[in-house]
Amino acid sequence: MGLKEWTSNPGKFKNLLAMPVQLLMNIVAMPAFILAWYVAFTNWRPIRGDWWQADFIFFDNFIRMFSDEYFIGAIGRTLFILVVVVSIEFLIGFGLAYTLSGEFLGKKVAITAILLPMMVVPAVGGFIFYLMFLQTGPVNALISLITGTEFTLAWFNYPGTALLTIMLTDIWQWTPFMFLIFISSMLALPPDPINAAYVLGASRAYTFRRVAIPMLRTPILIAIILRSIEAFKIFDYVYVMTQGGPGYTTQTISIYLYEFGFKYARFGYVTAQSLLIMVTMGIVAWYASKPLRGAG
Amino acid sequence: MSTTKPEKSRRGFIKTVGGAVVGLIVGAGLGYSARGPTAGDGGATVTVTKTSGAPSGPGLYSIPNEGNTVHERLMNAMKFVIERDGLKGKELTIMHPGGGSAAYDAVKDEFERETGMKFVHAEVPVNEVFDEAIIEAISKSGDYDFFSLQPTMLGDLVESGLVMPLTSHVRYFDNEFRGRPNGFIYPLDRIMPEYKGDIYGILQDGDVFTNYYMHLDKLNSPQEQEGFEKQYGYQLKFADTFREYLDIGEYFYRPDDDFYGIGELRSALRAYITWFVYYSSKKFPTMLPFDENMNPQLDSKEGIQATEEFVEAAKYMPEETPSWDYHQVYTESAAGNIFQEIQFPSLSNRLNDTAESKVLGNWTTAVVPGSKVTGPEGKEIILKRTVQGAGWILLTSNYSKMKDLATLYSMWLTSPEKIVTASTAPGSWMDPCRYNQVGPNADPRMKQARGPILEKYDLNASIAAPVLCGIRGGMEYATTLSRNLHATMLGTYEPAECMERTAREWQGITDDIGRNEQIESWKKYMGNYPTIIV
Repeated sequence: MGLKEWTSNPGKFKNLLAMPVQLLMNIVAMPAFILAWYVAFTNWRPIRGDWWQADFIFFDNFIRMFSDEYFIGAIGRTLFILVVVVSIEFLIGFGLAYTLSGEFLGKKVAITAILLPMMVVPAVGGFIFYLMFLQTGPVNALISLITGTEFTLAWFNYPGTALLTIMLTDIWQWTPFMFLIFISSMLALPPDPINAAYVLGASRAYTFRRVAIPMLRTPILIAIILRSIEAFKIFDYVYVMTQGGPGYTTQTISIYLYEFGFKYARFGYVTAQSLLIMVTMGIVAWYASKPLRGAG
Repeated sequence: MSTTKPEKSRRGFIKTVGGAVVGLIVGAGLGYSARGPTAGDGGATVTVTKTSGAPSGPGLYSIPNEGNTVHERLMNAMKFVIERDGLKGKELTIMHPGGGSAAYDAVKDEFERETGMKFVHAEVPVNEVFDEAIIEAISKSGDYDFFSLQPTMLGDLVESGLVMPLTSHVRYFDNEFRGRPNGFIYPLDRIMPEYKGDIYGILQDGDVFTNYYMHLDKLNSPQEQEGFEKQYGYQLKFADTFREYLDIGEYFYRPDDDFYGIGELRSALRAYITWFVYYSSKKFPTMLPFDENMNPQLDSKEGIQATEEFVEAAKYMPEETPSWDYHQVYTESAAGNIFQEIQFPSLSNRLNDTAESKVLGNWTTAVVPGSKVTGPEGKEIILKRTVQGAGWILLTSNYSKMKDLATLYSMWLTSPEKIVTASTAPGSWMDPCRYNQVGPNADPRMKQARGPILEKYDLNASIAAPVLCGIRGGMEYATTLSRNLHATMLGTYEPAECMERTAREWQGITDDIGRNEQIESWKKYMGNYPTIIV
């Protein structure tokens, strides 16, 4: 196969262009990835020496994690957070985008204001919300003002309310991301099919449901997949606001892996868990993104 | 424990012996031809072997050890090593917890001026210092020459090969490590730096938990005295027992006035420290966390009682205390909103801060409360035990290219002369750990900075138990306990359930690390726990 054939065939030429980056990626990432798989089958902890000195324990780590109540708890909690925050962020982000997609005075200012939380460093966002939800903070003060009675809830003392503060922080910070994707997609919709629907007598709501939304399917899917990936990795808010407490009740999977990895130095065990999560998430993402591949 | 570990040790042993033999031969030859090094002449006749960074052997013992004070001797030794190893102009780098730079900055100019070296800080957030150290143990980069870390972490740091033993340096340079008038306070000199019988750390900060009383006006008020005695049937005074401590806490719990009977450190990751004060006094000579076979003692009746008292005390604190870290508790205390607390010594900085403190001149400290237990000869006694709750020690990296210098610097910074300068620098939180920093004869700078805490400090220190030191996995045992205590304090578990759960988890940790190795380490360390009665 000559160079001419590679350059003259568009499909092969595409591969040729991507090859240097692929090679570089493989050289850099693959050894570490393979090493991670090896470590996952060992009981490596630095206190036992270097990784090549650790005992090979076959599937012990993989079996053990299914009876680890803290691991299972952290996974369940993270999925709960993911479902709640991504759903709410989707609904609010979509609603805002729809509302602001029309023309009105001050539109640019409104869009900029909505996007601002996304610019804040997550740890700082966490700290801001931590201060807001302190017993003497503005949230309690506001509730007291509205209800007319002194409201002094210690939000971080109870599992439910502690988790709620974390989710509210995430929603505050990442709804703008959803909004950004949706509003840019809505503004880019081709006007002809929509105008045609109006001409044929379709109502605004009907047109939106039956014409606009199908055209927005791809950006909706992208937004949900991207936000789900990020929400699954939630770390900063928990670390800053509750440290995973009370007890373990707000410990997410990232906090769990951090604690077991870096505080307890159980690298073999944590690597096995991380790989299992990665594979599982990969499978989920594969099926979730199937419509996208079809669209392409 | 990996079976390949002996291989590593054997290789290390062969390398060490080989290095020492070669060093001895070369050193002897060179030394003979030059008639040995002349101490104190700035290294003009440096003829010792080039064993840069060797922890001991000819490299160490050829360093001159001359001068009138510890500070002088170590400064001379540092100059010699810099000359010997060609280090002038290079950087000596320490990794230490964030916010702790003031202590080093206080002596930085002097060090750089005298030695021609550069001193570099690498500050890491306090909750992440252990993570960073473990990463360094794995990467072996040598980016840090030495570390400021906690004794609870020491077992893991030694076993991961990160830090080197300093016993030879301490013995050779005699930095007044032990004994009065200037040595490190007993038993901190043992419980903080030792692992498996060797010294690995140079003490810089002793976190002896102390009982603070922040309202002498209320303590001495006739009305409060009368009211307390009427309610509890005995006189209001410094608490001798935890029962009295809790009674005082309850009596002064006045949330409507934003005033609370007790303030303690109760955050999810640190609650265990305070708990050990409650726990350690529950059995003579000291209630240990494990028996000699590393079986946890937490789920004993003593452990459960300690947890019940620990939970009860939370009722007399500001409701939000479990989500506060120490600085928030300090702020409340300095604002005059707390009556008493068992706390880190650095609280005294805030209580004595003329700009911030609302209890200036109104606070004092006492020996921590204890528990009624069966003492020696079967008599009932009040046993008092506190903890060395965190503390910081300086550890030399095995991967540093200037191990001798890093170790000498650690000893110089903490010499009786320099430690006072470092610990009284504005913003420093290095707490007392030498005898010349405490008691009636303490350096005047210490008295000015710390106030009344120095009066009872060495007495509290004399009954200080370590917190999960001397074994591997200290941080894992500690965090597991802390999270369970935190949940219990907030109502998730009953005290007995909390202790049973933690004991079960501790057994798992011990098995995972290697029970036999843990037993071996633990047996070597158990003797460091206090036995005296005060």
